[in-house]
Amino acid sequence: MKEIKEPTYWTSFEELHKDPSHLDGRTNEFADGADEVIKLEDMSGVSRRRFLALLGASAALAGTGCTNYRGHGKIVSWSKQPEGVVLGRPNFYASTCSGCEDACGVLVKTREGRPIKVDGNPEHPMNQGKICEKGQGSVLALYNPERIRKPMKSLGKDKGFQSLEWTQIDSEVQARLKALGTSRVAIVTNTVNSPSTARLLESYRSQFKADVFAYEQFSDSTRQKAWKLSHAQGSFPSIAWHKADLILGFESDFMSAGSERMKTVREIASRRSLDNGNHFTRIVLVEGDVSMTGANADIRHAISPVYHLDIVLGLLHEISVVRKLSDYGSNPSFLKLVSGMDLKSVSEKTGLDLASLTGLADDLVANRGKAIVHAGDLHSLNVHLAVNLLNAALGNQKLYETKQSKVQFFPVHSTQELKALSDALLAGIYSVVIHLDCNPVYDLPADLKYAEALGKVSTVITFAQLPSETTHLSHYVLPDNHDFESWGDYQNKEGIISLQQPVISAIYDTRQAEGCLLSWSTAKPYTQDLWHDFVRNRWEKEFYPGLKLSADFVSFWNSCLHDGVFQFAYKPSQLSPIIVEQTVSSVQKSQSTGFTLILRPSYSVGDGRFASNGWLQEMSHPISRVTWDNYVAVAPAVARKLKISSEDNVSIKVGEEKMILPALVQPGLNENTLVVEIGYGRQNSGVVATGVGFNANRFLKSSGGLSAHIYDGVELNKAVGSYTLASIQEHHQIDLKGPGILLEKLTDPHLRREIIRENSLTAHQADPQWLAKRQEFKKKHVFSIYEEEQKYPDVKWAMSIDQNKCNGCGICVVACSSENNIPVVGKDQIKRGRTMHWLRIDRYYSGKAETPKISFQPMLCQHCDNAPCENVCPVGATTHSPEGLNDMAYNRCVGTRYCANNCPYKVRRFNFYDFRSNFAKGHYYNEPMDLAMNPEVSVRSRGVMEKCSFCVQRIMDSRQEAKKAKVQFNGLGVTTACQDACPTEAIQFGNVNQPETNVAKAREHELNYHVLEELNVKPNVTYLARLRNSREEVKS
Amino acid sequence: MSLDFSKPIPLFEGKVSLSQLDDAIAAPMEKPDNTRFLMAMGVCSILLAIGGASLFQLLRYGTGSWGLNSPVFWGWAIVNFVFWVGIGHAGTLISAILFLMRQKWRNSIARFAEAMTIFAVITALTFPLLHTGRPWLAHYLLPYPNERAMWVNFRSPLLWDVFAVSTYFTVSLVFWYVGLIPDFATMRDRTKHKIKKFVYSLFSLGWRHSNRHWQHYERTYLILAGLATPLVLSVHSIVSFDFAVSLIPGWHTTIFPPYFVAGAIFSGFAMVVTVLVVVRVVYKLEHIITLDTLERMNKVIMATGLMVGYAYGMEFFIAWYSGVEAEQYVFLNRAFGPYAWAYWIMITCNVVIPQLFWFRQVRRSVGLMFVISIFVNIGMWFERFVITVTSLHRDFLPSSWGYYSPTIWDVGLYIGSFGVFFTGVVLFARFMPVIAMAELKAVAPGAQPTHHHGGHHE
Repeated sequence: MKEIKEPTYWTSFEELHKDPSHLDGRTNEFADGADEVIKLEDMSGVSRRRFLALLGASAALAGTGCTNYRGHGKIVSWSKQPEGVVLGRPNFYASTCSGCEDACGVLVKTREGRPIKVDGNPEHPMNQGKICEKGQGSVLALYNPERIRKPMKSLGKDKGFQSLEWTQIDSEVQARLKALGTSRVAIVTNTVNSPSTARLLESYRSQFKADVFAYEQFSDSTRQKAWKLSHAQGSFPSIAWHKADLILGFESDFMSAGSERMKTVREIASRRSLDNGNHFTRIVLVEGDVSMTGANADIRHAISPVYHLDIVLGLLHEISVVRKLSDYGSNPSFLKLVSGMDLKSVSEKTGLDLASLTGLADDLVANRGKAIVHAGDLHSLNVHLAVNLLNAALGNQKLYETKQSKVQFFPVHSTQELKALSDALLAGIYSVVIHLDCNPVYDLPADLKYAEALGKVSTVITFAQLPSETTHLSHYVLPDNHDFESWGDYQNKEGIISLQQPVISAIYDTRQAEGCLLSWSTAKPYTQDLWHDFVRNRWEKEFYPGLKLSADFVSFWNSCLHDGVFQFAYKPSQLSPIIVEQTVSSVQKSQSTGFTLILRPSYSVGDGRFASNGWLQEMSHPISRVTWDNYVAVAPAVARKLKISSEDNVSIKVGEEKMILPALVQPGLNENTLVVEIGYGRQNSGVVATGVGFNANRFLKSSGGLSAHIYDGVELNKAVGSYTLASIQEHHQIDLKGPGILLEKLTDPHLRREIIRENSLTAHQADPQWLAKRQEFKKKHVFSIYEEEQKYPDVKWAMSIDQNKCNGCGICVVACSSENNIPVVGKDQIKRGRTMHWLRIDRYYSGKAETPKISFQPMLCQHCDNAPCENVCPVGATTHSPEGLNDMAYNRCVGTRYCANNCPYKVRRFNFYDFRSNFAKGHYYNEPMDLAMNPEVSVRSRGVMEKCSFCVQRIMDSRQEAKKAKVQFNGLGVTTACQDACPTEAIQFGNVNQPETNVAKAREHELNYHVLEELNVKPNVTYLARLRNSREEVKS
Repeated sequence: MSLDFSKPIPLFEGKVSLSQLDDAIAAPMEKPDNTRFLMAMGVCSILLAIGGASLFQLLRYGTGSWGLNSPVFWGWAIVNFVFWVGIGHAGTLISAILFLMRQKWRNSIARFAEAMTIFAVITALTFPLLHTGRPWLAHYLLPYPNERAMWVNFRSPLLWDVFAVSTYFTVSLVFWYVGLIPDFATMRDRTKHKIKKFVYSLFSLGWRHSNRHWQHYERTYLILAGLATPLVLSVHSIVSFDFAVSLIPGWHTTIFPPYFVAGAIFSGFAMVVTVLVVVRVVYKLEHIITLDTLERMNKVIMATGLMVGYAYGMEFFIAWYSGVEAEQYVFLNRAFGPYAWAYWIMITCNVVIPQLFWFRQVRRSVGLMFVISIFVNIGMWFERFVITVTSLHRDFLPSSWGYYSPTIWDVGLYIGSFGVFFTGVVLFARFMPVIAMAELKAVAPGAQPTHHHGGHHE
């Protein structure tokens, strides 16, 4: 080696003397510490640079991260951090939703102690991780600015209320309860599902001579009554829907209403799955209304509910008498009942053609023991009884699951049956009435004169979260806790108890009604723990010992709270056989005239109890897509005859009650049927609910019509004027005018444009490649002159939507609103076409207006590879991510709206206003609505474009976890809010580059297609074409 | 009637001397009729006040005040923008292209047309600015260096618009001003009023009518005319790209650039006729802005009207020929759908009514041409409305179809835009020479050396 020469020049003494540290420094450009990366583990010796870097960073953090944006309010740090709470990380708690009889288990997502999102509890055996739109909306209900915040006492009728302290309320009420004398206490409540609450109310029965009236506007009480008559014991069992090869419904909307909805739709969807070897169930619906279930049916017959009894009896006649497949034929009273009900005369009477009727009978016979005949909740006792006979005759009881029979702690009355209560009130038997968060003044039929009856009562106490018609007439209005602030246990099925635990302490000066009642009856001062201790003690003393568990009670209790649900071994009773004689003798046939009016629960706000929820009001009716209103649905033929079109006023007369309502021409509606939704026209119920729609409860009669909610002999007339309905989809499209060449284009445009792809199951089985071939053809002819710029080697996000499973319920829409802080825009803005939903469910009618096929298509940002929105944005506010997402930079958006114009799917949403400020004078800006916002998602300002982000916050969260765990991020396990909410698993999301994901598999399926593929925008949302298991094609 | 086509049509009626020309053109500035001026300004102020109120509403509450919705995200604001930009086209066409083609009849109307261009473009520019959701962030549309290294999107036609329209405005302004310099000098020489003298001196940039000045002036004017010529074609082509580059049926059309340019000239000429017909009577300039000139303008109107009509027909043909379902529907829907009324107003005003100009009597009737020119402008406004709104309101997915109708705030801002435009026009007519004196004198009888004495020019 050549020797290195000594330098002949030097620049410093250190260099001259070859100081090692100096020589080292010559090769290191930056001095020690100049370019170091801050590593927390090396932080023991803090250098000056590190110190300054840290100082700067902490100052920046303190200055930006910790300031209160609005510049007011106090910051109180945790002197002791609560166990398990990490700032910025969500916590999940299991609890129970008490929104309806189903009492689904929920999983509440909280951030820094505030609930921000609800989904179903996956551990719960009934709802299995899914909840309905009302459950999704319960977050908004918790933070509703109009919740009653303090106990109030009336200053006299219509004179307003005065706020009081609880202690004063306690002493006044307790004094009243002590001084009852001979009078009694009436407790009015909705269904009591909770064994502990039941125990409490029992104690009131004995201690204060209280009578408990549990009622529901809509429930399966008629079905239960029919069950009692035909089976003598037990209650109507659950149905194993997934075992049914044939489902025949009569006015039955089992997919959107009725008990165990989440279980029902899940099980039915499992039989609409394409991986299931196409063993599709067949759904046949006979209905007057056009229900969501009807839209999903393979075969739908529009027949007035008046004739449903005849059809069932005709089928019974055919099966028992003609085909002699049951032993009913030997029963003389049965023969009398079905005499003259041969299929031909039934067909003539009902208008259901003979071929269909015979087909129905054939189907039922072919599927004996594997079919379910189901009558809707609204139907009369007669139809339920006849359906029981039919099911028994066919041996369909095999599909009943007695293991999950219903539990009722108090008999649930229908609203009509509360006549006893109002009569007693009028007679002065009760001096104290306690309403447990129910609204009988609104719910009960007007002829019960409940409001008047309350006037005779000296003390009306109403526990309520929100102002209502009933609180308006009460002497004491006591604010109740929301579900998320409450303790409780719920049992509506044998063997399952679902626990409710608070996930936030009471936001206002409210009390849980049960706790308050308990404090009155036990004369103990109210504490938040009072009711908790009661429930817990009851479990410890009465429930736990019987289980004979090895675990001690505390760990048992805690694990129950953790899981939210406890399933205990339970020996189901034997299914009692049908008592033919009694059933047959209970059936009464009747004649009817005029129009038949069906009063059905609103799809979004139920019987009206959810009317204060903006998310639900804005969720559209699945068929008509009308929001914020109810209306009279009339058949196209009737509209032609009366010369009315949608939005014209009509008058309806039911008995003496006459009302003017707007009409909506509903394709597919039976022409003798009118449908009005109940749940609207609320009064004194706050800005969201009051005055929305019309109060159809006025049509209810305590004597009922054909059933409690079906009335015949209704008169319909054209009235003066019109009324604008806020519909998300144009509803004028049925009244087509213009030259033939235009009408041709307007006939089923969604089919002509291949937006909706459907086929019959048999046609598909004959040629499974029918769609794939077409797609292949399109792909061949659609090409780009540009090379594909972007490759997605690692993760590529995509979504697949199975239109066989999607039933159009719209739960995903509410879940999306909750997850993504989507504002409520209000009726006036929907009318102007400014809905903000990132995800919508498009509805298309095909075929004739009298017998349309109805299709649903969830539509959201398609995250196109060649996104047409991206290249037109002048400021680059919407760009493509390396993982195929179409991103929005809200801060950069100027609001030219060009992107929205250029979006062929019209999924972009523009903040034309600051909608939160525009809606009801800034209602949703009021405290504490800011707590309801998801902190991971920006709240968009006026003038900014927004759209579906594929829940990018969840993707980022998952990536962050992968980074922390130092693993390659593969995108597995990321779910979107809509996917989580979808009760039928129709929505699948994931990384298509991972072949094992459902999305990747769906993309390979022969029924996979893109909407508007020919535009070559390369959408990343794909759809699976729907197959209809219809009979017409089976024969051909 | 006998017409002698062998002789050029005289540019002036009767015999006018050069000094008479100056006097006639300077008269409105030197002996103004203040009553009429104030009345005109009063009307303009009312229009401006309506516009101001609409502007306040817009800025205070947002674009939600307008009738916009999903799917019609662009409404009157964009319609008005294209409408005013179109009107701005006549000026440059007349001053630049006709200048290069040595069309001398242009000289009596060029100044006014150019002024209208300036005011029309100013009016037009307010709309794209105000129509955005957050107009206070409009500077995001400019490619300026910033600390976040954020750049504009050069692929967006809206950005091309920003450049095209601003370039057009700049060039038009310079062109107009350069032409004004000799006239400002003339006015400076004529006036005795101290302030006026100062102002005119300032703007005439020391012009002394010297031979050298004239040489430079002629050169500059020619170069500017050359520069402005492609802009006439480019601006409206690029405005049409806003639509043509998108993929919405009814917008995604290759015929748009020439069709828009023809339409712009059509509407621009019509607006010039509308205004000039009034101005020449009020300012007694009938002998300078002659009926012959107006007749020529009317011929251009008719020719461009036919082009536009051809484009309307061709759009239908291509839609049918393309076989694209959505596109076929959009055009049928234009003619027979919910907006058929707008479509047929457009056809009537743009295609049918200008056919009257085939008749010489109509072309030369001041009253009729005034009415027809107004119809053409109504028709051209509706053309933009039809293109913008009918294409959007029913595009690909029938689920998202909607209907658009404007609110009073849309209308208010449109009325206000007339206020802006006419305020400019009225102020211009009051304080500046409405006809280019220097250019006019250059083509006046006897102004140029000729073989004959007196007699005909050239």
